[in-house]
Amino acid sequence: MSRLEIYSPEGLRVDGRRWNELRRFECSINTHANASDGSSYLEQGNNKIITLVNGPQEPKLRSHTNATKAVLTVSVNITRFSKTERSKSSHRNERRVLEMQTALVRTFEKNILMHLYPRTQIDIQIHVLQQDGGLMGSLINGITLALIDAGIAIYDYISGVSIGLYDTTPLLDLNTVEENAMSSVTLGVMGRSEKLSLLLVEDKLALDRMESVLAIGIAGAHRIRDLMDKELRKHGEKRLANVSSNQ
Amino acid sequence: MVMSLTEKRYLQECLISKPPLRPDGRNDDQFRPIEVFTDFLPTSNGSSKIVASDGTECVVSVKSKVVDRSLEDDLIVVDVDITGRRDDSPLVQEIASILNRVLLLQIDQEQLRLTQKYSFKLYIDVLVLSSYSHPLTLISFAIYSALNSTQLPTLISSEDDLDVAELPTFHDYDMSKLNIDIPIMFTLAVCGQNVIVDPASSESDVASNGILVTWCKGKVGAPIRTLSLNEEYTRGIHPDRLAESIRLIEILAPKVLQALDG
Amino acid sequence: MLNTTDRRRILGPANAKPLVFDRSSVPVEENQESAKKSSVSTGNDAIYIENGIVVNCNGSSYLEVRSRTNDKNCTLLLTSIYGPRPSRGAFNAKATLSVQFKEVTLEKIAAGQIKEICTFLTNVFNAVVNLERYPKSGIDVFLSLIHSSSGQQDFELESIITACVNGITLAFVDAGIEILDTVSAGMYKRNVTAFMKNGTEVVGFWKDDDEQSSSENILEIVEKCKEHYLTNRKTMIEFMVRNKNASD
Repeated sequence: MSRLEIYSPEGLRVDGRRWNELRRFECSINTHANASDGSSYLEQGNNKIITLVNGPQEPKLRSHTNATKAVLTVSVNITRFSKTERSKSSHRNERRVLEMQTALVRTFEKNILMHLYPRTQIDIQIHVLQQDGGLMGSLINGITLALIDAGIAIYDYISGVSIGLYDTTPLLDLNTVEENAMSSVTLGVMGRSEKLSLLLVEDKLALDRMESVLAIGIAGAHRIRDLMDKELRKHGEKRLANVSSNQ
Repeated sequence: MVMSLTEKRYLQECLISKPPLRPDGRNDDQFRPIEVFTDFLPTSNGSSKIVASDGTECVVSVKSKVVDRSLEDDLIVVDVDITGRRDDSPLVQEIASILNRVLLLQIDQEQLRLTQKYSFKLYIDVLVLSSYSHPLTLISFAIYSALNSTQLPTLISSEDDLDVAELPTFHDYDMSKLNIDIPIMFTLAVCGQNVIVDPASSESDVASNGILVTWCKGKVGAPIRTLSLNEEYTRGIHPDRLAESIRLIEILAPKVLQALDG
Repeated sequence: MLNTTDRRRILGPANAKPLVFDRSSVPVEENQESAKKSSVSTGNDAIYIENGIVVNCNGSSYLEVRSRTNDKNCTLLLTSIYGPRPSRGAFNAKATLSVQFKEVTLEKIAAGQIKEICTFLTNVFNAVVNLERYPKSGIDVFLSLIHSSSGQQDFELESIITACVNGITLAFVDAGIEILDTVSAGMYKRNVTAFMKNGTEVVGFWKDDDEQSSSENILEIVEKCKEHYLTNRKTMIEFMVRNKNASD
C-alpha cells in the first residue's frame, strides 16, 4: 500500500479536494478543424485527450455498410508517453483497450440517431496524450463534445465520471493514486436525467453502498454536463458573432 | 485531395514555369505558416505540438531515464506513430529509421552524460495526428522544439562515481535545460528546373523528385538524398538541382532556426 | 506473356494461337551457357555478371563486385524480377513497382535501413521503368544479398546500394521490361549517385557522411560518382552486347 493518506480525517484527499469535488475540467471544441469533421480537446485533471470525429462518410470497406443505419467505429490510441513512466509497448491491441473501444461503441450507438445516417460510417479517433485516472469517463466526455462539434444528431449529452468507495465514503472523480487504492465505478449519464448509459464496475463493491456511490456519481456527471454545456454555448456564441460580423 | 489528370497537368505546368507559380501563392523559398506549442505535458521532460496551415499536426514528447552507459549503446530512441498508417508500413519505418540515425549521428552522446557511469537516455515519441504531405520536415521541427524545451533534473551527487557504488541523486525541483545541437531536416521538391521548399500535398503529387537535406551545427550535413514524393511523376533531375537545393537550405536554415527559437 | 492470366479481358477462344514474334525471348539453357563468364575488370572493382540464374522468374541477374585492392571487400547480389503481372483492385493506368530486399545469409542490416533502401530504390526505378507501357499490372523486384563485406564495418551500405541499382537494371534488361535508359550507380566515398542519360540526369542520390556537404562540394561528389558510373555502365553494356552476340 502507498504511504499516502488517501482520505484524511479532516476530509481531504491527496490532491486537496473534498469527497464530492470534481477535478479541474477544461474543454474546447473544433480544435482540429482541418483534420476532422468534429474535434475536441479535453483536460480533466491531468488527463489530456484529443478526440477526432470523421463522418458520417462513405464506408471505406463494402463490408462496413449497413443499409438501415450508420456504422460506428471507435479507436483509442493510448500513447506510450501518457503515463509518468514510458510504457514499452504501444497499447494498440491490448485487451484492456479493445474492451474500452467496444464499451464506447455500445454506449454511443444508443445515443447517436444512427437511423438518420444509413450507409455511412462514423469514425471516432481518440488520442490520450496524458492519463491520470478516470480515463474511461474522460473518453466519454471527449466523444460527446466531438460528436456535437461534428453536428451529428445525438439524443443528449453523455457525461462520464468515476467514483470510488473508500471505506464507507464515496469519492468523486478519482485520480491514479486513488484509483489504485480503492475499488471504483465509472458512470455514463444521459444529460440531466438519471438514466445511465454506461455502468462499468471492474472491482468488488459492497452492494449496500452502491446507492450512495451512484447518487454522488450522477450528481457529478450532471455538473460535468453543465460545464460542457457552458463551454459549447460560449463557443456557439463566438461562432455566431463571427458569422454575423462577416455579413 | 485527389486531383484529376488535367488538374495535375495544369499544376505541373505552373510549377515548371519560371518562376514557379505555386497554388497557394508562395515563393519557391517560402514555408507555410506553422504554430508551435511547447511544454504542455507535465509528465514528459519536454514536449511540443506543431500545427501546419493545412491541418498537419504532430505531437512530440521527450522522456528521459537514467541508464548505465556500459549497458546501453544508443542513448536516443525515436518512435514514430502516424495515424492511419500501420506501424510496419514503409513510410513509418523509413521515417523512424532516418530520424533514429540522424539523431544518433549528429547529437554528441557525451552531452547526455551524467556521471562516469550513468547517462540520460532520451525517448522521443512522435505522434502524427494527421498528415497530408511528406511529414518529415514537420516532425523534425517538432523534435527540435521539444528537445529545445527539455528540462532534465539537476544532479546533486558527485560526478565521479567509478569507485563508489552510488546511484546518482537529483535536486528535488531544480531542473536544468538540455543543451545539445539538434539537427533539422528539410524536404524540397524539384519541379523541372525549379526547386521549391516545403511542398504542399498537391505540389508533392506532381513533383519530378524530392530531396531531403539535413542541417546541423550550422552547416548542411548527412543524410542528403533523393526522396520519393509520388510514384507517377518521378523523373531524373539535373545535378545542379542538388546543389541548388543545398544552397537554398544554407540560406533558409538559419532563418528557420531563428524562428523556431524565438 | 501468356503465363499470366488476366481476368479483366476477354481472352478469346481457348485454342487461339498467340502471335509469335521473331526471337522474342532466349531460352534459359542457351542463356546460361553463353553467359557463363563475364568477368570484367574496371577501375578498382572486378565485376562478374551472370543472367538467367533464377529460372521461374521473368528476369534475373547475379552480380559479384570484388575490390581489386582489398580482396575481402566483396558484394554478391542476386536480383529477380517477377512481372509485369496483373494486379488486383482498382484500375491503374501505370504499373506499380515494388522492391524488396533480403539478406540471405547473415542478417546484419537493421530492418529500418532495409526499408530505407527499398523506398530509395523504388523511387529510382519509378523514374526509369516505362511504367505507362504496362497498365493495371505490378512489377516486383526481389533483391537477395548473398554476401557483403567491406569497409571498416561488416558491410558498407553504399556499396550494397550501388550493386542493387546495377543489378536491378541488368535484371530488367533480362526480363525484357522497357526501361528508359541503362541506369547505373557510381560510388565515391560514402556517396552514391544513380545516373541516366549519359550522366546528365540524376535519378537517385544518397549521402551518408558529413564531409563535403556544402553546395560547391556536392557537384564535385556527383562528378566523382559519375566517373564510377561510366565505368560501371560500360561493363554492363559490354556484358549485354556479348550476351546478345553469343545468343545470336
